[in-house]
Amino acid sequence: MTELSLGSSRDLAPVPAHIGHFYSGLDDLADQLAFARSAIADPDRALLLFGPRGAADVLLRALEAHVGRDLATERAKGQIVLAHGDADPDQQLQTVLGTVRDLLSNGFKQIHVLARVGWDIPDWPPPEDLLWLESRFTAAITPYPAVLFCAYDLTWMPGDALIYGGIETHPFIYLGGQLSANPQWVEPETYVTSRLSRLPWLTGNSS
Amino acid sequence: MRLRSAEDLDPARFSAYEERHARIGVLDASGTLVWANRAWLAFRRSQTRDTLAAVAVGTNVITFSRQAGGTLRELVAAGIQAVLDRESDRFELEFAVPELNGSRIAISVTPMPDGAAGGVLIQTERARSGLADAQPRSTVVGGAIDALTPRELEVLQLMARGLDNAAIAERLGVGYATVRAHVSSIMAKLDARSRLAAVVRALQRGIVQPPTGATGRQERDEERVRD
Repeated sequence: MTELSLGSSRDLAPVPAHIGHFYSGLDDLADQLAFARSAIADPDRALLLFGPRGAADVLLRALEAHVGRDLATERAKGQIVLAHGDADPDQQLQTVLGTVRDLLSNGFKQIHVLARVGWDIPDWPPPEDLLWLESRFTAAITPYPAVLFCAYDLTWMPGDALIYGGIETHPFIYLGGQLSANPQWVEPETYVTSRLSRLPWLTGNSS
Repeated sequence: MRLRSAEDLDPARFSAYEERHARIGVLDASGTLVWANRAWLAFRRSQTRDTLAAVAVGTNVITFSRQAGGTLRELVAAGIQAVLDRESDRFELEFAVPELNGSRIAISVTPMPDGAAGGVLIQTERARSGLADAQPRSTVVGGAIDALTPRELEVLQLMARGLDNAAIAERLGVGYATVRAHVSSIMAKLDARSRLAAVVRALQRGIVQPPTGATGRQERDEERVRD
C-alpha cells in the first residue's frame, strides 16, 4: 500500500485517505501547512487548496509565509491550485474530483487536498448537505492517489459540525500531530440512514 | 372476508380508475398486489418492496373529499361509506367491494403533519373486526408524491442511498446534467432547502424506503465516479 508523509510527524497516511483534522484558529495552522509544504517539496506531488470562497487564498498566503517565499512559480506550473466550493454539495464534489483528475493528467503522481471546512455560511451547502458531502468523499477519493485533509476549526464550529462531520465522516483523524484510525467513523453506506436522516434539525421538519 | 386472488376480482369493476391520476391498487391479505391502475404501477416501480399491505387510493381522494363534491360523489358511488372530518387525526374510509361478497375494506388516511394537501394512505381490511382495530402498517404516500415523476422517484431512491449525481447518472444510464436537474426538481417539489432535507422528507413520508446495509455496500462497490 502506498503511504504518504503528512509532513509534521513521522506518521504515514495511506493513499488514498480522507482525514479529519482539528485546529484552533489561524494561530494553529502548523499541521495544515506541513501537509501543504510536503506536497510542494516533491515535484511529483501537487496541492489543491479548497474551501469557502477566499479560504484558499488565506491558506496560500499562510503557506507563503511559512516557506518564506512567493509561490507564484508553483502556481504557474500548476503544482498549486486554488478552488472554492459553492452551495451545491454535488458540484463541490465534482470540483474537487475534477481538479484531482486534472492534476493527475498533468503528470503529478500524488495529490494533497487541503480543505478548509465551512459550516452554515453563505454560498456554502446547508449543514446536512455538507455532512453528506463529507461522507461521499471517502468513497469518491478512493480511485485516486490523493489524500484529502479536511480542517475543522475548533474555535467556532459547533458540536454538530465537529461530531457529525469532523469525527463521523473521516476514517482517519489527525490531531495533535498524530494520525489515528478513527473508531467513530460511520461507513458511508449507512451514514445517510443511520445518522443524517436523524439530524435533529431535519427530523423537526425545520427545513 | 379477505381478498384472495386476482380471480376474485372483476377487472371491469376497477377499469374506471385505470387512467386516474390517483394511485389505486388492491392487495390481498398477504400483501400481494392483485390489481393496480397505471399510476400505482408507476409508483410501485419506484419502490424497493414488492408488497405493501394496503388497499391504496392516492392523495387526490383526500383533496377531492374536501373540495370536489362531484368527485366525492364518484367515490361514494364506488363504495365509500365513511369520510371523517379533515380535522380528525386521520381519515377512515370504508369501501364495499361487491365482487368480494360484499366485504368491506377499511382504509386509514393520515393527513400530512405539515398540513399539505394529501396524506399518508395505509391500512387494509380488518373490515370485519371494525375500524377501531385498524392500525397503520406502512406509510405509502405523501402530499408531494403525485408531483414526482417516476424518474424522479428513481433518482430520489438513489439519493436516499447516499449516491452522488455522477453515480446516479451512471446507474440510470443518463447524463450528469439530467440528474442534476432531477435533483433540483425533487428539492423544489418536496419544498426542501437541501438535498438531504429532501431525502429525509421522502423517508419520513414513505416515498422511498431506507436502503439496507448490504445494498449500500454492494452499491459502493459498484459505484464509479464520473470521468
